[in-house]
Parts: sequence; C-alpha cells; structure tokens
Amino acid sequence: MYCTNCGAANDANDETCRQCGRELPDVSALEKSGITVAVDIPNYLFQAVLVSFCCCIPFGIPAIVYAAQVNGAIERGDLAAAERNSKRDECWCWIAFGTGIIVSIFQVFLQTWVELTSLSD
Amino acid sequence: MDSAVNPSGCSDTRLWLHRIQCAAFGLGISAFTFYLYTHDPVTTPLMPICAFHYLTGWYCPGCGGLRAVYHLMHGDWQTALRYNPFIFMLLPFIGWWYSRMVLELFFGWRIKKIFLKPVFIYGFVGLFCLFWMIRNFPGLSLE
Repeated sequence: MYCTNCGAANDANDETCRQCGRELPDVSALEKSGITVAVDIPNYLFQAVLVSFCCCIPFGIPAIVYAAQVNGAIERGDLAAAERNSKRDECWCWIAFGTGIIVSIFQVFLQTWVELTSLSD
Repeated sequence: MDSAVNPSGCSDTRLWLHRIQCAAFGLGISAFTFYLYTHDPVTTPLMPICAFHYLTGWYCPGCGGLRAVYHLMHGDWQTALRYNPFIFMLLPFIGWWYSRMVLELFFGWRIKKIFLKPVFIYGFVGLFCLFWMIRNFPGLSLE
C-alpha cells in the first residue's frame, strides 16, 4: 500500500513506511471493522483489450491475463501481488503496442516497395 | 477548472497530462474513424493489415474488424456481423470506458469503477481463443 505521508510504495503487511517511517494504517483491521478501504491499483484491462485487437494479439493476451490477476489479487486482499501484476500488465501493454507500431511501419515500407516494383514492371 | 474537482486525487500536473492523453487519443481515433468512413478497407491499399494473417494465412480474432466498422458506419450491420461479430461486444466497452474518462477528467464527475471479477476476464480470454479457432474452420471464415 502507499504511504499517506510521503507516497512511497510499501508491502501490504508493513506496519511503518519504509521511506519516512510513519505508521501505516492497518488495512486488515479496518476491513474487519467493516470499513472497506478503497484500492486504486490500475488493471489496464481496457488498454490490454485495445492493444490485443489493434496492435498485437500474441502479446495482448498476457496483458489481459495479468489484468485478471490484478483483480484476483485485489479480491484476495493481497495488495502487494496486485501491485506487482499491475506493473507486469502495464509492461505487456507497452510491448504489444510497440510491436504493433513496428509492424505498421514495416507494412508501410513493404507496401511502398510493392507499389514501386509494380510500377517499374 | 480548479483543483477542487480533481477526481483522481492526483496533482494538477498529472491531471493535465491525463487530459492531454485523453484528448490526443480521442482526436487520433476520430481522425482514423473519418479516414475509415471515407475509404473502403477492401479497395484501399493503405490500410493496416494483420501481421498474423500476413504471416500465417490464418484469421485472428481481430481480422475483419476494420471492414466490420466500415460497414457498420454505413448502416449495413449484417455485413459487419459477418466480417467480425467480436467487435460488437467490444464497441460498447470502448464507448463506456472513454465516456467515463472524459466525464472524470474534464467535468469532474466521480464514477465508480466497475470491478470485474477475474472469472469474467478469463471467460473473455477463453471466448477470444475459441473464436480464434472456430473462425479458421473451412466454411466459417469471413470470405
């Protein structure tokens, strides 16, 4: 979870912040008392679906699977795992996006080349 | 707009960065949609092709998507459905996500995120792979 004082990332079971040393709120105790703690760990599901369809399906699928794992970890209350999967998910989205861009550039060159060679025939 | 309506709770610099990203995405999509509306993907040489289809000759779950959107924009939903039924599931999802982003970033609305249970996401992946396989059977392909 993130420190409310300095914003540094800590493990879900840390009692004090690793960076500034301030006491962190006890999430599990809060939940036991019926207060739900808002977690805002992005799962990049939309981006993952978008890059799957528009850029690169083979790299889009791990991105979608990691999005599912982020939500699974949030459901279990394992925020550290959610955070980890969220980062991997973001990474796969970028890999798929980058592959899509490279393939598109390659395609434009290929098509220009095909057009030019067909003109010279 | 002032920081009192900042919905994401992040700094104003980040808020503006998100607004610029959101606007750039919207402009890009609109420009491409206009290009697609005026150009039939079948007859236009400069249209994104599917690398998977180009390399293997098989259809991927996204193949026919541009042709489907083209025909959908011209009101021919039956042809669109034949080219790619999957995008019909996707378009409402994209619409919802983008409207939510615009309302939050530019109008200061606070909309509760829908929490998708992992089983639905895995279900989507399963459906995706199933569609990938069945559309490559002879007689079920798009052409």
